[in-house]
Amino acid sequence: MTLQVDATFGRGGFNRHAAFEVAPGAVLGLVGANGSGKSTLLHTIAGIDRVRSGRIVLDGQVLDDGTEFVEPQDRRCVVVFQDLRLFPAMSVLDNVAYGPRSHGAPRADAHARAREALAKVGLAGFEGRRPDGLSGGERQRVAIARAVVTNPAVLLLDEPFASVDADSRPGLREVLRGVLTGSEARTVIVSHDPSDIADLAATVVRL
Amino acid sequence: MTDTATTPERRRLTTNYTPVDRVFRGSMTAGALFSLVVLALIAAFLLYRGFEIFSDFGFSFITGEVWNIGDPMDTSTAVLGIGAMLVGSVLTAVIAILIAVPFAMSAALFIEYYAPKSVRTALTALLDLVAAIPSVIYGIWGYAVLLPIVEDWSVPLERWLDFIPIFDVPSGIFGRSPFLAGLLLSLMITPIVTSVAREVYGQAPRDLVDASYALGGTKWGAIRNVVLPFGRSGLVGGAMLGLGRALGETVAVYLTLNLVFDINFRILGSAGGNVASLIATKFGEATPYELKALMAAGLVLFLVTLLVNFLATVIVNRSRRIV
Repeated sequence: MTLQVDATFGRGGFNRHAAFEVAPGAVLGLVGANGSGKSTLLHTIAGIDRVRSGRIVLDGQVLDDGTEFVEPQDRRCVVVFQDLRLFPAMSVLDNVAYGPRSHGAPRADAHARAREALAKVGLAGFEGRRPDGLSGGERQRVAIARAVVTNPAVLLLDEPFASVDADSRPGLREVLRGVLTGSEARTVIVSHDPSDIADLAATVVRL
Repeated sequence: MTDTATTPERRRLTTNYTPVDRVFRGSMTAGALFSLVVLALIAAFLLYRGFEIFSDFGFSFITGEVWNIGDPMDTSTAVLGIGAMLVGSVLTAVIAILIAVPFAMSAALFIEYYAPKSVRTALTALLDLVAAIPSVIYGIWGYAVLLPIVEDWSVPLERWLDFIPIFDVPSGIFGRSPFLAGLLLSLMITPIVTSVAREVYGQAPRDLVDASYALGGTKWGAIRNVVLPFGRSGLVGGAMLGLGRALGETVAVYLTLNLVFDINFRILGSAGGNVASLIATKFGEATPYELKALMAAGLVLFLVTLLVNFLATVIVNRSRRIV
């Protein structure tokens, strides 16, 4: 019941190949230089981009093999984007509740789950604020809460430490550790700095 | 300590235009100013020709409901007011907007987010074609085709909804009504509003739309939570551009609305008018004094339309800057 990636991916004239497996509850680190295709690989796993060849399989179901393709909203994969992509017109609470609401949860239930997720990342009390009123680190935590609240099968974190200053990184590492501990999600963390994910990821793949 | 003997001399910044630069700059400036000059000349002309009316009637020219030229040899017997026509202009324009905007939004969203590429190209071209149809053609079609249909539907509508004052028609005379004129205007302005809406919706941040999908959202969820909030002010601007067009439309309203000088909010009844159709109706047989009154009416329409279009441009430009 793993996430299996054995695919060639890329955009335009850029091609890369990656092959790895991630078991439930495991964390895989993906490192590489700028432009090595780390974000593109995450987007391909999430369904935003498509494989050039090979396949991506989750729990025995083919997500993309060039012919079969499962739409992003049906993949149980959630991405924490490098540029976060919080919805500017929504409050923090509505941003975090977006995933459950999209999956049909009633508003009250979705908001309750969102409050729980915000408390887990240390942002209890921030529910009514807007993304543009938060610091970089706070926005990062909201993005993480928004991802984990849906209990995804696959959690994809794209450079989660990129928008956070050096002093705040230990705190964010603790938040991530707390979120990932006990989670059954197959987690892939991308970073251009291996030291950021050294104690989070059991396995590291270099692109 | 600074040695004043070595303090650098303040540099004079100048631009040395070549003769070709000067000619080019001059002709471009003249072109830009030309349209402003024409606008100012039109306003000045209307004000000059209509000033006597404003001084004779004051503000009652804008609020008065009666249009009676009286004795052509004695202008003091005239009672002139465009209040009913102004209300008619606004009423038909509002009906047009209320019908056009939902259709335009739907069309724009379909073209941008649902239509296959080949359909998108064809629909966009078709909308441009529809926008180019002359107003008189709309007017003739409205009179010949739409009028009987609206007449037939007005009777049961009035019967079901007469408890709402705007649908009540005590006279029982239907047909060439503000509703028909508004419906026809809505068909004319839908391409404009759709075009602006499409441009704005197409500029919605793609990364946020992708984020919506990546969180399990459907296409409608992405549209509702990302595209529509993003495009709100642009759509308002597009609606106001359509409103400006509807306020000034002449021929289509002239052919589909009976001119009656009575402030009328009964949209199904055969009575109404707008300022533009008033001018078109009276111009050919106007006495010199009545002609001045029509110029004054034209000035009022000119200023109202200018204001609406200016506000629309500001709103649309502001929504573009947010991108």
